[in-house]
Amino acid sequence: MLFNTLDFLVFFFIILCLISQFKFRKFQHLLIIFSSIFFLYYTDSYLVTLLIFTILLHFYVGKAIYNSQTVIRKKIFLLIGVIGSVGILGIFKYADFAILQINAFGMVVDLNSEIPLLNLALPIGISFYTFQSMSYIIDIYRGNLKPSKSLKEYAFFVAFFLPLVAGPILRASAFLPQLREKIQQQGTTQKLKLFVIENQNLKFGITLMSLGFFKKMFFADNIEPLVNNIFSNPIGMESFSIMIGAIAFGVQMYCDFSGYSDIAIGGAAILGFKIPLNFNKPFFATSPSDYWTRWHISLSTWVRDYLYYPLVFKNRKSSSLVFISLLISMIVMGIWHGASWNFLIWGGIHGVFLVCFTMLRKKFPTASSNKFFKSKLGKIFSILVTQYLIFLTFIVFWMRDLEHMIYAVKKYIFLDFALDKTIDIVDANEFPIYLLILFGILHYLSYRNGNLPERLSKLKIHYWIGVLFVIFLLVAMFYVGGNREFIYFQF
Amino acid sequence: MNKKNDLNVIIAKVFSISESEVNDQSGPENIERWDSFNGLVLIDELESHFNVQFSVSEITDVETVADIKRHLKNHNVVLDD
Repeated sequence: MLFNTLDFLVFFFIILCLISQFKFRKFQHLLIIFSSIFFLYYTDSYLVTLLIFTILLHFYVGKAIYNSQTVIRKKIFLLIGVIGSVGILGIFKYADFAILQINAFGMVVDLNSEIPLLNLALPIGISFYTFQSMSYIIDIYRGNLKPSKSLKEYAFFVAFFLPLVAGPILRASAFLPQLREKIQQQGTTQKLKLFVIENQNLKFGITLMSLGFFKKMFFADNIEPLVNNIFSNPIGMESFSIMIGAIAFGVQMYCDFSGYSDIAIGGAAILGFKIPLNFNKPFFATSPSDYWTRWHISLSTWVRDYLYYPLVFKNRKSSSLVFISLLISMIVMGIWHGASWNFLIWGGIHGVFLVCFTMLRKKFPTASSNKFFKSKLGKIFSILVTQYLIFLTFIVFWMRDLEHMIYAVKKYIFLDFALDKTIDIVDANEFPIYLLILFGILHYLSYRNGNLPERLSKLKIHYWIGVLFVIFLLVAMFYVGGNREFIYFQF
Repeated sequence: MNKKNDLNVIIAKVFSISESEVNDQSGPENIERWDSFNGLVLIDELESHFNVQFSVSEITDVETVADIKRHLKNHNVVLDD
């Protein structure tokens, strides 16, 4: 069930009505859990069993880790849980890629047989809920979290339909306390809270969801044709055309993915949950490192806490081991996106950028305090250089064909300064170009003026309705038709 | 200089901010330069200054300065209030 469909709006509306009408805890929680499973079943049919398996596996593994008396036993249960998650992910997402590489190698060494592909459908959301589940058992193992006492509570955390299929990846330590309610008379019982839809949360949630729909259906879906026109066959394109394509795809990705996150976070806010931001103005990042504190924050912090820090922690005195850990972490982040060489290369390039930036910081530790870099001009310079590098990686992210990728990257780096074909492309794609400009202006205004959704939700009711009306009018007027999937559904 | 000041001074130095910007709610979400690299630099500085050794569990359980204080307390480093 896609967020940008009438089906979802009806589904969500029904859930909100039922929750506001029936103020019984058990009913509300079971409603959300079964609705979440239905939500996934609607899109994925029988593959919803993987979600159920993941929930049961990690719930019981979490308890077993917590109750184990020795470190060895804890490690064994942790390994069972991690292998379970990675195993499912490996089989459904990466097995065919591995088989293709083995078969390709077999052809090179003249083996006369091929391993048949599994051709398994990719379960929606699997990369998200497996990572979410792994963080739960790892946090228990580390002693940073006590396991859920109730399967109902844990199932809610994993299956919650709003962030289920494309994030943000939730952390149990932040989410579970929100589910629980201390009943004062009874001390610290962990009874799940009653959902009450409050006006303030409703207004904020609707605002954020509307902005999410706006980003996805007005910006992302209407910019996509420009990206396809340039990137579907870039051979012969001029440098400036490739640059426009890279910028357009970066904006499309941002609007698509952050739009989804806004809908998920806004919907959760209506129900009284605070889910952290997944994006924080990434196009104003001043360094590759800063970028990763602003783009897909829930994934980058996951990789930092569960891969990078464990790899680097004991070896952080050795620069080369720090750099290798950084590279490995970013390659894993790339592969997380999909079983394809371009994602691996994409992760590797980001890793190289981070390593280079880290080397520069070690060599020039006082550079960030330098007068130039602290000045407005210095900040603009840092942003432009960073974004030039980041948009280069968007080319790699889009292109699975190696020849296309090499051509486009070369054109991006070694400018030909030709303009004829670029002018034709701009003429033929006026509307997406205007959207890019409009996006730039709105994004800058939102960067300068702080928390835009919060500010909009605090407008007086008639202004607020006016803003929503404009948003939905623009979405309706420029709706491209068809149910356009969110890009991150494919991961 | 008391230990609480020491902590604020170290944090201010690592992230190139003024001491007045450091409070218990400060963390990666509101300090721009608090990324994974500077996070490790901070750990090194804190370990060296307070003569403690943090575990991976502790460093991944830090969202704010208040969390740092909590972990230091577990290592018997009590910061003056």
